[in-house]
Amino acid sequence: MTKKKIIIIGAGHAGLSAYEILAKESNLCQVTIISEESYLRYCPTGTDSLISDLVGLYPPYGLALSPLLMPGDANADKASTDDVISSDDNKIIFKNKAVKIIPENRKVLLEDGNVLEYDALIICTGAKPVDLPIEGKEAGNVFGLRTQSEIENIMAVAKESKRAVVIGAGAAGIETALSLIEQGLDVSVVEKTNQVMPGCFDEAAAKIILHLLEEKGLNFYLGAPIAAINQDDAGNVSSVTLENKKEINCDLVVIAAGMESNTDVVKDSGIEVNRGILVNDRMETNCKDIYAAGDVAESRGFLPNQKTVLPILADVQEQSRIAAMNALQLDSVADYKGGLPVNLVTSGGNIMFSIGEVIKTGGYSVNTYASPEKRAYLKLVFDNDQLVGVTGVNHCLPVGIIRKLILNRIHLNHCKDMLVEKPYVPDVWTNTALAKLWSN
Amino acid sequence: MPLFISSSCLSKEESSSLIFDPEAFDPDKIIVVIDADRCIGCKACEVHCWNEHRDVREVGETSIHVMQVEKLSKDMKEAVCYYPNTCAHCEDPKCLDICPAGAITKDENGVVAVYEEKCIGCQTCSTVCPNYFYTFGRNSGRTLKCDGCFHRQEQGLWPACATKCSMKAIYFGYPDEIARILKEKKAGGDNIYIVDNTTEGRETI
Repeated sequence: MTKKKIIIIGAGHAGLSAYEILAKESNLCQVTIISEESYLRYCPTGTDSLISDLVGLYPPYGLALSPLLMPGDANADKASTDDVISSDDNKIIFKNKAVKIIPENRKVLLEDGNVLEYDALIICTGAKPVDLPIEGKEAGNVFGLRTQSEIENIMAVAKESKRAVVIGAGAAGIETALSLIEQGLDVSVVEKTNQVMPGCFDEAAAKIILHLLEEKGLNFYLGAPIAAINQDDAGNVSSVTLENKKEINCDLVVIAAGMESNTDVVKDSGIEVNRGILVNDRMETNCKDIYAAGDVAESRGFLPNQKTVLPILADVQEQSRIAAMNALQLDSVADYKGGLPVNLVTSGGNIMFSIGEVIKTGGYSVNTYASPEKRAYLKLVFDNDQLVGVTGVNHCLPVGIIRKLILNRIHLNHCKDMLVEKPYVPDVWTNTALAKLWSN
Repeated sequence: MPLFISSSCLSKEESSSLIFDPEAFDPDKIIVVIDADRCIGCKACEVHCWNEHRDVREVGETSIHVMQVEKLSKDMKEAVCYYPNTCAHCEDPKCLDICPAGAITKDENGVVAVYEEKCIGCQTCSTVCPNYFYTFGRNSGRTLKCDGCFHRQEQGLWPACATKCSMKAIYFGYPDEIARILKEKKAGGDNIYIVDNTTEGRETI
């Protein structure tokens, strides 16, 4: 039997998770991974935390790439000097890029002119920063927040800088700002909407979070879209100008203004794209044998008839597993059931999380618990006796259990009363609610 | 690593599915056994777990949680029973695969441990744990993962929850030893079930 030729585009979490499944079936397939990066084990997820010296620069060790690794495994976490690492069947091509897919001929064109043939293709190109139309963003010491080299550059520049501006007050922006303030910089965060972490937290929670972060020394400019980045004579950034004409002096700018699916590779290939590459519950695109998973895929959401791009690690791994199993045409795989947004930020004793639907709560019953003096907030959203969303500030609740209760649409029955009465007691979740989860 | 539960809450047909072959397991890796039939919900394990880690944890932050449950899996009949929920030190840990900080390892004894200094507190591990075991420190935000009482194992002792359990409901051991214990239990009339935690959720196999 000839082995199936499977190509994975992208070596982030989605790509490597898919590879992990395929590597176990090495008698069925040959895998080629195409990576733009020069790093082998590479994970964009934790990059914002990496800036902090406390954590240090740890590339992820989690994903088992051992079947691919050649002697010198110890260097796997360093930048690869080779352009290709290969074993008998599988290989990774580094510093190269897939530029075009031709579904009719089952071919992938690479940047260096090579053409690869496939029997099945898994697109895991992930996300890219939203291209902001800001004047002067090509100035020196202005960085995005995606690749490992950008993080290394930020760390190097932060050592010499005094004032930094972070553009965007989403979770990534806030974590970056907190990491920078730990390095002793004076940090300002600029956000175009009127609240911190828009889309994750409701206004009441955002207000408490804003207080917490201001106490840590961050300066916020909310409702203030950025107009221009100004540079000095040497070409490095000297200040940023907001649309309200305010000027903030700085010598480091980090742009963390959101991500969008990186769908460049499927342009003109006939593969359907909305916000991401549209996939069905088998993770297959409208072209046969072409699958997509991870931040690039727009898949089933939690609510009925909802399609979302969901950059959540647990869901990404599930998507990759399904895509890989279907690419191998294994019958045993169950369809994707949809994922759930989970956002969590921790910083020096404060924890803030939001799971599921907590902002558009029309038609649901909402219970809120706020104690401003303790800077704590909790909100439970129920659809009858099913949980649909939970958000909390300074309440350390077991996120894994809550996510599963929502995702599996568990009927809580009498357990709901206990949760409504004392939701801030972690034991109620790890005991009563978990028991409910197990027996369903 | 499968988790073994002994419980009379299950039906007869279910109990016939007991298959435990010590040969199928790595002889050097420990297995955790929970005997839910014996657990009386006294929470001595929680107390001793905290006591072993009192230098680094706040009051009440334990790696084992005793639950009162009606059913331990969807196949079981309903009855009130107790279950000490702790890390099963899975054979193929999902948390290890997914940790974005690379903070989770599986050591040569089979203990799944967290480098707490690497943990970034993102709780991603808790979203994939089949036991829903992961909990996190109130103030530290770091995981309160069971470390298999590493400092006790260095002295040749099993974890505190197992040795201090008043009802001997928790066992840590190597496969041959576990096989012996399970054999004794079966001879004593206990029903023993294997709960497969390699799949999502808990199902008897």
